[in-house]
Amino acid sequence: MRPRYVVQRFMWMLVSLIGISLITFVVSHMVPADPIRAIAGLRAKGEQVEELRRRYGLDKPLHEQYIRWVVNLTRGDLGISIRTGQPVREDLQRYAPATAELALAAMFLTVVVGLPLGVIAALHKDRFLDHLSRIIALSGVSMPIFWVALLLQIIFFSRLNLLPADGRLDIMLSPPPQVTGFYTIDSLLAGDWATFKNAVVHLILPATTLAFGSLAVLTRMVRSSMLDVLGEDYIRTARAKGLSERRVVIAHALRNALIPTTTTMALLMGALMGGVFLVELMFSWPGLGFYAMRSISLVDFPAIMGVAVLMTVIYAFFNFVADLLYGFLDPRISIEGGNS
Amino acid sequence: MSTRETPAGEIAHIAPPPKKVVQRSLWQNAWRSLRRNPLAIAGFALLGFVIAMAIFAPWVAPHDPLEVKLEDKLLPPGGQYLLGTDDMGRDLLSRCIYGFRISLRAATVVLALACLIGICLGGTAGYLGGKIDNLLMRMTDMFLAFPGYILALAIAGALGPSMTNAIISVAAVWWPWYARLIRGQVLAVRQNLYIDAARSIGAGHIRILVRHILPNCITPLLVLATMDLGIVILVLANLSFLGLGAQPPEPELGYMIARGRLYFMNQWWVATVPGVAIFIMALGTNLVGDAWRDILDPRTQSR
Repeated sequence: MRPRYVVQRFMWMLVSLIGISLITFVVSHMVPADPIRAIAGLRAKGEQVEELRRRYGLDKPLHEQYIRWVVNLTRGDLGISIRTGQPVREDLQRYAPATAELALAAMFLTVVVGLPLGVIAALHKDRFLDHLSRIIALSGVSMPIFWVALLLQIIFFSRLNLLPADGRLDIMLSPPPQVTGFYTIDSLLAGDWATFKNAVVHLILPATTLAFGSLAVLTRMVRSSMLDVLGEDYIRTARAKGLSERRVVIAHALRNALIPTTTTMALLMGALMGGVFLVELMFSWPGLGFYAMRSISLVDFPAIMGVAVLMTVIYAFFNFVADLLYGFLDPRISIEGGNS
Repeated sequence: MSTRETPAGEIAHIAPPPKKVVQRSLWQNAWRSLRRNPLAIAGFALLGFVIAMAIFAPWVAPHDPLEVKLEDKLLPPGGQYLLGTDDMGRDLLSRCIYGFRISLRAATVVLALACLIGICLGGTAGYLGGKIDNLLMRMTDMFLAFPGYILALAIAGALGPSMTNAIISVAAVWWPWYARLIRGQVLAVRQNLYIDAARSIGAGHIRILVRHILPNCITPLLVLATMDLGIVILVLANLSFLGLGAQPPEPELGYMIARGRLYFMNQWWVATVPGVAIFIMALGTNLVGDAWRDILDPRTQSR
């Protein structure tokens, strides 16, 4: 990997960030609602409202507000949330681990189910199992995410009463001492078995819901790259030297098919962020999406901007990782920026 | 590879007849691949069914989708109301049939807008090239550097809740893919000799772009739009579910699920039925889209 390329990509990420923040800024200030009125209450006097407006810098012209916001951003300061009264950065730090835990759990499920499904589909190309896996995968992307959430809640919570339908833990339990912010890992570190089980049980439904959409993409990707690899000469060689079919598939084909798949996974991780919003809302999962939805409904500018910036960074990061992985895993590809 | 190999010695004496290159058009390829793919046929059938329902909704729907009959509220499926009724006693089947209409129309408008913006920006960028191309494409990349769904949500929120605003906000984040595609196509088509020919007989830029280049770029655009249809339907339903799209009493499927959510503990069908309707519609379009992907993927083409 050429350092120049990495630097170029990084600079481009910064430019995108500025652009996106500008778009978000303009869009969120288009809203006719007045957040100050909302927090000051209807009976607040004129001067109190003016005072609050000054405190949040909302009395300045728009372009000045934006410039000030960018300057503060370079110092890592995202402003104060109008709704919570806390620095946005602290809010984000508090809510982010829940989202990360949920997204990783969903990714785990996607891989555990999607990888075998894709391999099976490729090995049975154009036969029954291939069609079946295609139906499963396409069904996943054809269901609205909130409806999947609702169905799972109807079945596993309301009918069978097997799994909880909201939150990260039962109300009676207190969260484990914070180390990583992941309740599952933290409770294990604290040796608290009951809390760990409870946290896992709470994760199942939201993670499954979130995994539904990405499952299709991964399965199709694994299938097509497996088909690609299976047609290669070295597979024929492996078969010719008498290796068992199992070894050929797992050690020779799958390993190489995983190269494009890993890249897809990194991209999917970024794409999951879109679904996270609805899933967190449906399951009252106290993560970034939950935080964002509440901020949006109260037109809490600093919070909205903060979430937008964080989302862009996460998204860009995973796209970047996908690019790097591609060059790293497949030595035949070298990214050198303008050398072709 | 199944190419027949000729022993090297033979070539000198009897040159084998030149291998006939089979050239098939996109549509011929599509037809060939379709015949071998039962799921694609199922997809077309499903989508055809949904479109027919949407078009003939007034004749097919057994009841008025908006008629409130409080004495018939929350009736389970079966009997007079095939799929049950909602909390206002409205027939769920009829509402779903009209729901197809609303969703398909809205999604088509979104994609048409996305295509239009894509053609304008991508066409300009690809045709003019240079600095303008660079600027426009950087702008496009910027939109792609952000999860589109979240941006759509923000724009819809800012514009205020209505179906028109939901359509605008989704189109506003959807066009970059189309702009990219069109630009690539234009770059490729621009190389052709007939473009030089048109220029040499004095055709103007606009004329060359509109009459000679764009018509040759349109097929992949339509294919991409077909593949996107299912996703756009779902995104619009998402917005409506959040209250940012269609407003009551319109029988929009996403909004119907949001209402049904209030009754999911006991009257499960109120939320489930419209969900199945969206699922059928999206599955149909996705099966068709997947068939297209196979057709376009050179690796799945048989030699």
